[in-house]
Amino acid sequence: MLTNLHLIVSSLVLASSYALVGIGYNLAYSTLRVINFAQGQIYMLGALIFATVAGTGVPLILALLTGVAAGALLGMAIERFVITPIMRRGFSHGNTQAALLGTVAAGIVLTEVANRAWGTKELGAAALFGSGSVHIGSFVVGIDSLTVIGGAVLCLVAVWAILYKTSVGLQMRAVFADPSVTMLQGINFRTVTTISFVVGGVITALAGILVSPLTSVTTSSGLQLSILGILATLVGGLGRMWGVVPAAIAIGLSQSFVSYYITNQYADLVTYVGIFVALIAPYWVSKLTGGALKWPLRRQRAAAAA
Amino acid sequence: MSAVLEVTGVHSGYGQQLVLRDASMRCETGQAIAIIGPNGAGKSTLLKTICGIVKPAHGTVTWQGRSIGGQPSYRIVARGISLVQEGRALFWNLTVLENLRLGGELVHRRDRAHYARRLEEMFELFPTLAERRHQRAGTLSGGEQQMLAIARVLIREPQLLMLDEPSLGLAPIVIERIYQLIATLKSSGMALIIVEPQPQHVMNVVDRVIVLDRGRIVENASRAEFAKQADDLIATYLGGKRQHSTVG
Amino acid sequence: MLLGRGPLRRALTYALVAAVLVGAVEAAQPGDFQAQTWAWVAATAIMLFGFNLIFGVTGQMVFSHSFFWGVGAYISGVLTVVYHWNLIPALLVAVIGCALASYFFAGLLVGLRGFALAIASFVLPLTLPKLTNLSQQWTGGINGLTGIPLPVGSLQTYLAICLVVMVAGLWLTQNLISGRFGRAWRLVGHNEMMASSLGISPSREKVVVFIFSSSIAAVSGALFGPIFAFIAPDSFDLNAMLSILVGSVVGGAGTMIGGVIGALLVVEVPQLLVGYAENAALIYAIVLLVVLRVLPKGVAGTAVDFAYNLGLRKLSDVRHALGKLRDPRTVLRPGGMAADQRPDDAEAAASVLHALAPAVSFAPAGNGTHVVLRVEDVHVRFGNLQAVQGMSLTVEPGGFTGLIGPNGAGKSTLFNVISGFVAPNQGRVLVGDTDVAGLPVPSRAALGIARTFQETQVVGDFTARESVAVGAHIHARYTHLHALLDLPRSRRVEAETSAFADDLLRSVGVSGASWRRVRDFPYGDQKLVQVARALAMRPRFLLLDEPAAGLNVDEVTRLGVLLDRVRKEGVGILLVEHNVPFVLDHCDTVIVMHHGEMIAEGPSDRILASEAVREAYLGTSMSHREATQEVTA
Repeated sequence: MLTNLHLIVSSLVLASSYALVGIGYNLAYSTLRVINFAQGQIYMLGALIFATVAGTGVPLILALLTGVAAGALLGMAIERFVITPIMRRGFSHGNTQAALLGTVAAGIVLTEVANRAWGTKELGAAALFGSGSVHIGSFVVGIDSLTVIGGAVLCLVAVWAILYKTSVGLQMRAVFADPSVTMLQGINFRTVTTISFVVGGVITALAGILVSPLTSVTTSSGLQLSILGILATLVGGLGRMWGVVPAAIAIGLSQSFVSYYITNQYADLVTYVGIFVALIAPYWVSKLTGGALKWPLRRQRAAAAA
Repeated sequence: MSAVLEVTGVHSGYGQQLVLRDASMRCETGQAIAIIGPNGAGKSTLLKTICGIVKPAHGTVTWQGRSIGGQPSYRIVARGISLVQEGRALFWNLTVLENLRLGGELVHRRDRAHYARRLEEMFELFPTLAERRHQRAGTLSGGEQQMLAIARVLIREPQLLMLDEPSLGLAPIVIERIYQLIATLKSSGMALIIVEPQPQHVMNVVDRVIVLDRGRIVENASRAEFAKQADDLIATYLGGKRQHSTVG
Repeated sequence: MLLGRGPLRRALTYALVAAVLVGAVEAAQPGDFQAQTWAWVAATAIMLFGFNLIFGVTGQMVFSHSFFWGVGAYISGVLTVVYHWNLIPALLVAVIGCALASYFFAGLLVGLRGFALAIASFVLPLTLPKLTNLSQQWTGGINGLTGIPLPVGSLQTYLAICLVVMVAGLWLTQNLISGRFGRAWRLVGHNEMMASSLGISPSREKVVVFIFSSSIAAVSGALFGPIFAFIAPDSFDLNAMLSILVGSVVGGAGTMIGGVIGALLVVEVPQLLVGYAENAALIYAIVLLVVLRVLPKGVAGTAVDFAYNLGLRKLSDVRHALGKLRDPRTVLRPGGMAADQRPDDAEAAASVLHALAPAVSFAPAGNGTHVVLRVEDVHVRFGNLQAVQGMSLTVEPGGFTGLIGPNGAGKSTLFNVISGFVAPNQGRVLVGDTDVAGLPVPSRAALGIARTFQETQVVGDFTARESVAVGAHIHARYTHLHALLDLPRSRRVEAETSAFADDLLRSVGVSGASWRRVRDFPYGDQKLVQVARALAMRPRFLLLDEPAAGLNVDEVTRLGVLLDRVRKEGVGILLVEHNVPFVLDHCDTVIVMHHGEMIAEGPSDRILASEAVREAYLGTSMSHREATQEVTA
């Protein structure tokens, strides 16, 4: 029982980090419908910059702000210099593909730049609220773990508030629906797009800052996490901001429990197979039931357009 | 009266394909103009060019004395030109209120209280929209969608309103209502440009009629002049009277 | 002519290229390191041929190919190292293994598109290290498989072999994409809906391409092992996939020669930049960023465009010199009314058409039986919108039915029901005695239902000839093997198809040259190309959605003459059109739809007399008076 409780906590920590990264992907996706594959590098750079600045002895809050600002700038740079110049040629399938490749390339540039700046150094990132732990009977949980879970919940609430309680959030949803119709309302969608990438960058950098104290930071951190973050986003449904949460929890639970109870070595393999199945499930469920049953997580395009 | 909108020698289209050739027209304050012509004649392209969705390849578009050709559409809209697109082009997954809020973003930015007043006025004008304010746009009936599309534009008080096929897919009684509304707007002094494939509904509310055929303006006449030679013109826009008479 | 004529010529050209490459290896006698690098280029190029097939030609974003690359390399490596097989049988087993595996995965992935496909396929390479771990006793696990033997005496000979295989691969894949399969795949990449309507099943074709490209990846993988005598899971990880992507995009994803260019770039360039080797990834990434912005079609694609535009310029120079540069649409009558000034009555147009058009047969393929298309009591609802309400109609062979009604009356929806894009809530569609309900779109096309779309639907870079020839896909029969080996049969069928396409283009009155890209054509010609494409299916029933919209008077007249000829040869035509006089002139039955319902049906004169029709369609104003006079005159 106690073991299971510990496993659940570690699943939730994993799930929180996937959800954070996934929300970052989704925000960047939420206007131009392009997956920003450089999000993993934003995560890594956010963590590295935070750890480096914190290492100089300045107050942690200052380091935090520096890391987050770096995330915001990187998000903006990728939107302005990589994605938008390509998407300006039109919202075609080919251009979306090209833009996606562009973000892959931008990610490599960022990794290489980080390699030159930090080398193979491993940085221990400071935990924001210290490294103590909370004991409840024989149940022990690290404060850094709680920070990740709490941070994720806070970020999700913040993103929800931005999207559903602010003008700019409404405009982001409008751009997602149709950029040209949004422009016809007198709204400059480029500004809106940039904001979505900035917020996406901030959330992703924050994810790096929150999660990295659990391990250590190198220029290759975040790679695995960003892959699982994308997968969680895809399983939850791209463009469906909250679908990522249950998907992230499912992936986290499967990883912790499979590696404890079944196989440590092949836990990843099991996760990947599970994700693969989840990705192809929507099509097969509706196909095998003759369209009678629609996968509940799939967005249905409004038939009203007809 | 001075021309507020002046289109001079505009060629425009998509990619290398020119759809509109050498179009010139003017629209004055308080004037209503109908643009009619068969499918593919370039009517929608003319509207899209005026409001900046399509960039003119040639020629100038001026609005209140300033050139707006080639500017991004959000700037043109901010200067008081608005377009209700063909097929309504609502944000289908957003609610009525959210659609209106996006339409009124320019007003809201300047003056929230004024926005609130405009919203109330829209709801007075279209009471069904008030009832359905929390409903998604995609779940409205065709007529309600058209009303929402018009309300979303009216809320920001445009000086020039362009409507692309406002009667598309609507029942006759709804079309009648829409045109009553358009007549009211005209009497309030708003400049109007209305695109319809056929003249039947639009004739009663406009001052001038422009006929487009295969990308060119083939007629630009006052309503009275148009009525005189309507037989000829109608045969044209219905698709080639000459050809018909020789075969039939 | 040095190389002979006819079917052998192209093959001989490739053989010559291979011979020159082998000769160059003999002459240069590269050192071992050089030989390794060049063999690596050759293997990478082969991989790129396969990847370009699915990514560039068919437009499917997949990241799975480094997986099949690795699986091919491991199967062949294990067989040669552990079981001491010769490379050739080992390679064959690897190819078969990958083909089977890719068939399995393609079947699973077939419903996915866009990002979902990209990511689901992205999962495969992630599993490779784990799979090698699982089979550690054979594959060496994470440490890799060492001691893969060279099948021949020296690296230099092996390099020559790799180069020959590369040239052979270029020849085979180039053959494969230059005929009906290439056209179908490019169409699937651009417009699955149109592909289905022409009898091409997008999901089937995607599975086929996936298998081809994975098998080619396996060949590349098997050749890869002996070069360095070593493979490891990270030779085929996401970074490897990335270099393939870069090579593909930079070289020109839509072409095969682009594979060679891309391979040179990703392998050779980092080697040439001595001292920059450790910066390879950074260089790739920057090159990719620049190429995506500056040359979106890659080096080879841009070269093709350049050559095409050069040809265009030459053509327009010639035209200009001849003083024939004249756009028929620019002619205006002084009164302001647009019309052609020439006295163009239908007979004159028809005679011109006959002079131009060869005697193409429009008779339905598999003719002989009298098959009727029947629509019975069809209802379609979209949400709360009743789009079609109890429509029934019949199209006889040789019949010409016109469907008119205001915009939004449900005409296009009815078309979609007949061709299978929309499932009716109620009612049946019958071809002969076969109820086609539940049949997918491509199968309906195979039953002889062809359709055009309202928009012009230009497909990417398709030339006019290709645009029409793709319509003949189901009749231009030859197998993948015929295509791969460029056998006489595929050549003959292709020649026939091209000639047929050219004839059809002239029959419908398209003025542009058939080698020109359709997107450079004027609007009217683009619409006529669509009609020609539908006719290329040699259908029993032709469904035309507003074919005359946007045509000039001349073109409309010719279209009318053409359609009259088509129906005389036994094709049943169903026409949706706003050009009412056109419908009245040519159709023997006219159906008027309004708000999803049929409000009138009958011969054209009776239709115009109907008060309901005037109300709904022509309006109550002066329009019907004129139109009625026309008909009774």
